Amino acid sequence: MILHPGILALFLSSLLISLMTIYAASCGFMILRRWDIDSGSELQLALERRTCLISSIASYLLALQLLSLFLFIQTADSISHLFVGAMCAVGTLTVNSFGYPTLLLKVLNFILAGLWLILNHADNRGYDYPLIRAKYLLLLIMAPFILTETVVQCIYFTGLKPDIITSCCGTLFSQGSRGIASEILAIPTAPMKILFYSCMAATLAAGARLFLKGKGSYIFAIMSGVTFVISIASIISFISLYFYEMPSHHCPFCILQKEYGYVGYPLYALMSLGTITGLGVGLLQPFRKKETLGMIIPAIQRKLAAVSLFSFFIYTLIASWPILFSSFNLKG
Amino acid sequence: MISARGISKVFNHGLPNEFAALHPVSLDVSLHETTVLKGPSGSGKTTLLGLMACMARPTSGRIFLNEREITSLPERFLTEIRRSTFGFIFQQFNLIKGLSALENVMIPAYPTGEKYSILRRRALESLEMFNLGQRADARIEWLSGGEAQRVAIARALINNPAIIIADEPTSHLDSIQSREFIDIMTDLKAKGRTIILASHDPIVYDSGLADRVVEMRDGRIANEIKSS
Repeated sequence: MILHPGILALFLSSLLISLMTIYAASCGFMILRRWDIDSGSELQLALERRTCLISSIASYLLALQLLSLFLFIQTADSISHLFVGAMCAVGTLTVNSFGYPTLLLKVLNFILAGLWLILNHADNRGYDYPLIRAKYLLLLIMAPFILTETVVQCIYFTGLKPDIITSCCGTLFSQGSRGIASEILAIPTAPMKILFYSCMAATLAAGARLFLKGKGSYIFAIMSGVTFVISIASIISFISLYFYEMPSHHCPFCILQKEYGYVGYPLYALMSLGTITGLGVGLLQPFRKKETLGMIIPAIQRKLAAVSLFSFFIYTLIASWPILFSSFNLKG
Repeated sequence: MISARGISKVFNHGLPNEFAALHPVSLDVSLHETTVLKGPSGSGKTTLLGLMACMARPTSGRIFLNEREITSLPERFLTEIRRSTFGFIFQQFNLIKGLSALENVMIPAYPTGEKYSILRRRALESLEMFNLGQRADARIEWLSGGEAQRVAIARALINNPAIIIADEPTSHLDSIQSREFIDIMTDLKAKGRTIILASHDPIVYDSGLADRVVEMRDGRIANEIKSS
């Protein structure tokens, strides 16, 4: 099982990202303590050369970190047939107690990696390394999560035993289950729909205001974060039901399967892109006062807001399509 | 003004074969003047020239170009400065064989995105300025040493740089060709270009071209002579 191409790719990518993170964090520690752009010392010049290299490598590997979330879900889904009782990724993730922690860490690192890439992009636009400290501070914050993810993922994959009887998504995402899923399912769909569409409308309005007037960066960032949480809850609560056309099937993973046209991938990708770019707008806001970024950051924020708006809008369209046009309805 | 402040260059730093090509050196080069770095092989003049022209980064120290600090600049910013500010004439000419003289002259301007027809016309005018108009389509390997040198100068001027950098420009030329080179440089100087040359050829540093001769030895500035 461990020789599955997806698992090998995840092992390799996590190992590479972890090694890079360890090296970058050690350099980042030095930068936070000793960086002085006004100095012409040997150490300062060595740090300047090193940071260019680290930034380049880190940007490629953290882009890989973004992809690894989807590869992880796809791999969990594709090996589900090896476990008795598993119907989709849910079954694979519950084979042992490290499946969901790995997924949560991957989601967390996905968001952090995305934010780091935005910060790095803005830093690279300035000629005097204006965000160097913030960039490496974020990398140092990310480091323990990335390393933990690698370890937990390793334990999870090495602990996959095919003779284990696992649970299917029908059990875990039903109203009789325990945990957050059951609490989401306990909310009636009508108020959840109102919450989802209201939240999305407010986020789109905040994004449009930012795009057109350059105002409300923090509000848009907060709204993007809230939209992320509500969108996931909405997929479990009612969006997935319309794709499955089954009133009791709430699994957020089955929509990634061929039977449903892999619609889960664009849904999750757009939701994640919208969230990260939205959060990125807020992340950059405090740095607008930097002399070399005064003109650059508003332009980046505007582009991020445009990407976020587009992503959330298309996400809403895809999610709403079966609600509006399929014969299935939850009213009866 | 190009101002170097305590710049040093160490190759293979921390390795058994570590070599300090340049000990901390400070030097100010005024614009619209010609400065010659003079000294024997291994004196550090080419290294200093390369650092001042943003071709390499120092191990320590800072360089300022018109009050703007340039050694800390990320590579993408440095590339732009190098392309727009400096024109290079190399010791071996570094022309690309297999390409014509005209194509060689045009190459440094390709990244600027200038319209091809305009660029081609400018390159031709530049070659004609050096009496090479009829040799524009000749391949580099068919040119004489003097012609190759003039193509190299035309190439250095294609982006209209304020500063011309020449490293041992006469080392592959005979005396007549060397004097022709000095005449061309004198003409460019009269047109307001700043010229920085590294040379141990007396034809260069004893010529009337040099406003200032900086003598280097063992990676340090040994002496400085200001003419006029």
